[in-house]
Amino acid sequence: MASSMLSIGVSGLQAAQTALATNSNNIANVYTPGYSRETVELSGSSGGGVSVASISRQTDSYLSAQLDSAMSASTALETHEANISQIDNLLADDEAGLAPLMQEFFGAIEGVASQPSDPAARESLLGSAESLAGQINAFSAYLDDMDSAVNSRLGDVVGDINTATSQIASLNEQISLTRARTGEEPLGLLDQRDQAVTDLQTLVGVEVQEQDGRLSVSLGNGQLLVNGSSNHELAVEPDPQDMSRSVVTYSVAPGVTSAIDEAQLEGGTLGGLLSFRADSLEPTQNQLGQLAAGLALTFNAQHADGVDANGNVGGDFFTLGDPEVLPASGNAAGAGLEVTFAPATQQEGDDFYSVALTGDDYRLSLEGGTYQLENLSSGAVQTLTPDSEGVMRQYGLVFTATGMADGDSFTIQPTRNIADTFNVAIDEGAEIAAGSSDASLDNRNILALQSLQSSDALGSAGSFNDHYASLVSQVGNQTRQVQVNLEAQQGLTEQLSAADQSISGGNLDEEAADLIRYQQYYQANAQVIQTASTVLDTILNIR
Amino acid sequence: MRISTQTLYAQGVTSMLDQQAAFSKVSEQLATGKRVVNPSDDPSAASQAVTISQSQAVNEQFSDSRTTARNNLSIEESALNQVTDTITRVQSLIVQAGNGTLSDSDRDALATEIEGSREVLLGLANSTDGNGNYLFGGMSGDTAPFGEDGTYRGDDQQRQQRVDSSRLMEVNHTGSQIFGGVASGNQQLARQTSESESSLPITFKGPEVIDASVRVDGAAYSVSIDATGVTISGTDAEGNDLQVLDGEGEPLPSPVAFSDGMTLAFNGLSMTLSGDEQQVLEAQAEGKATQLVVEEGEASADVFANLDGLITALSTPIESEADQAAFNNAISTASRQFSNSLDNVLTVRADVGTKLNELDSLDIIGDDRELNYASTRSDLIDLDYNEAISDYSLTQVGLQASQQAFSDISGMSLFDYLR
Repeated sequence: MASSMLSIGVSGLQAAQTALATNSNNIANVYTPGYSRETVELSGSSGGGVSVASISRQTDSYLSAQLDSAMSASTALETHEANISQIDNLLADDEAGLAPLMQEFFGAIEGVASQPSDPAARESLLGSAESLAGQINAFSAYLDDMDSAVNSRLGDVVGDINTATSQIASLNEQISLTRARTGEEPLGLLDQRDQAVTDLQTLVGVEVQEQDGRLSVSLGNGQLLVNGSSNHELAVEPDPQDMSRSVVTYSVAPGVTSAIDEAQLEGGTLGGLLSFRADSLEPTQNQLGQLAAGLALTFNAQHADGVDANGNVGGDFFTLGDPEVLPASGNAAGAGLEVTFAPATQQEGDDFYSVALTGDDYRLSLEGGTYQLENLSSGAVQTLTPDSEGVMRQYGLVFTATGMADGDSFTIQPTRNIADTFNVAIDEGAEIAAGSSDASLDNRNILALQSLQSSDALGSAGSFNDHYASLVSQVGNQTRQVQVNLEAQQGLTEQLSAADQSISGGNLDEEAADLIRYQQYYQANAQVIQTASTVLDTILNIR
Repeated sequence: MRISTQTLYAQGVTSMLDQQAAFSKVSEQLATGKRVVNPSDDPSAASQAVTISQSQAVNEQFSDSRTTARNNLSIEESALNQVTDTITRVQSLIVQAGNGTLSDSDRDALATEIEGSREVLLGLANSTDGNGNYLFGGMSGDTAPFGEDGTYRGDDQQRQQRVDSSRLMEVNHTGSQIFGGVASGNQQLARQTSESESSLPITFKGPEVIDASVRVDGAAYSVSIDATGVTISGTDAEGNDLQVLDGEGEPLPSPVAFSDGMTLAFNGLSMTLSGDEQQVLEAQAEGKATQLVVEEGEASADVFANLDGLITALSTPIESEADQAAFNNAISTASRQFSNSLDNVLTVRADVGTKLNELDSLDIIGDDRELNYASTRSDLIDLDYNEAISDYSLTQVGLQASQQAFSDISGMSLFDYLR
């Protein structure tokens, strides 16, 4: 009896030690990300005493998958918000924004209209034109910098994604090996793998499935990133349609990559960066360019209608580059496309000018012998037919294609980078074509230039100021919307996190209670051993 | 529900961060005085504010434009005041000159004074604004519009300025409008064109309008008086031959014998011819004749040519009845010419005055508009301080409460009781 008592006591002591160790582990890891609370299950032995049946992780895989995908969406919105807020802040500046500078510019035009022969008024107009151009250039440069930053961030994020997928693949391998070798659950490795999945979800949204104890991870379009113990790497490469733009590619075979449709890359930092670029950054760049190009084209057209103080016909008031034309990488060797802005046209019976220019991007391709022009924003496709001189016109643009073979295409970004090229063309006040004859007080053309301010100079986009106001409203709305979505998503994430933590997270008070419980359990079992020992001593002391 | 220690702390921290963000937002609003700092704070208000700012800027441009227009017109008005004074002075000299008791040397003295007035008027016609631009040269502002001989070298373009969204205003008048010939619709003028040595001693009065309804504007006639009698030739603007009537409206033969005080009526006008019948008969017998030209509309010469004519008339000695008649006719013509010139100047002055009044009204409208814009813009983006200060206190209390809660929670642990 005493010997079984001793062994029972020892088994209890061992169970208590295991419980205390587990308990300490829970306390030690109470703040460890990804750690799941462990619990000890005891069972009575048929021969007496107690044994540790199992130590298990407290997790709810359904909840944690929900949490992961909520976090993925939160991170995407956070990334988008952090970036678009910078544009929002840029537009918030009341003093240095574009609107006040446009107003100063038109105010200076009024100055020349009042005093056409005053050189000071003319110089002041040139000065405010320079400030306006400077601010448009600076705005544009800021957006360009953000674009480069997105490109380089894409590289970093894709690197992190590859690290996470290779980690998951390697943990898949280690977990099956450990299970096979010990027959026990490798709790720490499972935690690590779950955490790696969580990390991956904050980089890009993925689908996770468990099969035979291994996780397989795929993108939204079904492309596998982790399959058992191997992983497929993503890469960042220049867009074949636009080499200045980075796109994410998937390796389909060694050395063969294909670009992933951006719509399939949602969630996480990657999804946030891509949606910021496509929905916020590029449209803002295009609209700023539309404003700059519209100003330059309408101004130059009206200016050419006048006569300057030297009696010469007005030259260009602003300089403006040509639309960006990007050949597709597979184009035939001799394929060329030249695109220029059509000059602004005079509206009947009015002295203002209107341009058909939009802020959209286009793709011109030759298919089955006909030229097709696709509007990349709306998806609308039109057939263009060259005139007798081989020139095609559409959307305020003039296209001249040479040597295009069937299947060749060019992407045209008329306004994406045009704000960089917006500058003041004249450098002497006398060259301002204020008059319509060469009389010194003639101000008829400058009055016409002044009226451009309030005319619908940008066609359907309204006046320059209307266009700028709509840019402000668009960026503001989008920022607001992203912020609201982010708040909602963060609320949801917090709730899911609390629910998940309520199962797998440690509670120090609970662990403190357990600590006391297991301490007493340990002491009790030690007492059993002491008693057994006393009993044995009693027997041994009989003689 | 079981709450993990991590959740407990995370919730405490999140709550403090949220309260801090809210507190910071209100602080920023208070510091800037604006409710909408970033477009995202209220996109529609921010966008409307951009539109209103432009309207404000445009309104201010118009206000600046009105200031310039007002300056131009005021300078013009003061020059025109002096022109009026000078012409009035010339008119009173013409009245003096008409006094039949004056000697040749008295008239010479008057001629000298009128020469002085001519210099004054020429100076005024070539006035400049503060920037050295000539006021009355039309669009050509950098060369003197009137030459020494009084010819106009400027152009006929009036410079316009946009003084309100829908108002382009002429802000100057051309030299020809002010100093040029009789504008259409002004008084008709008769002028003796024959030299005094060969003239009959006949003086005329008129022309006066007797029946405006039958008048045809722009017609020109000549009245010839010679040995055959008085003949009126010419057609009206519509090419019809003149019908000449006597004072009672009865048709007259042509030519008709001269009689003292005879009245001729044509084209709604009437003229009276006077002279000693005996002397006229004698002069007619000597072969002398008189020709009168009746001018309407813009046909007559400019102020400086009229002044020159007047000076010549005053400087010419009167040696015969014919000289006297020619001189009387010249004075009569000049009187009518300067009355017309004064009308011209007064018409332009009235236009200037009307425009100055209009600018004042536009200023009032502009100021009202500015008030509206400012208050709308303020409603859109400015801060309601009462609301903001109350929010400030509220968020402050919220932040303090969340800090207190965090501090209490972190101070409570079962471990504290296990000693």
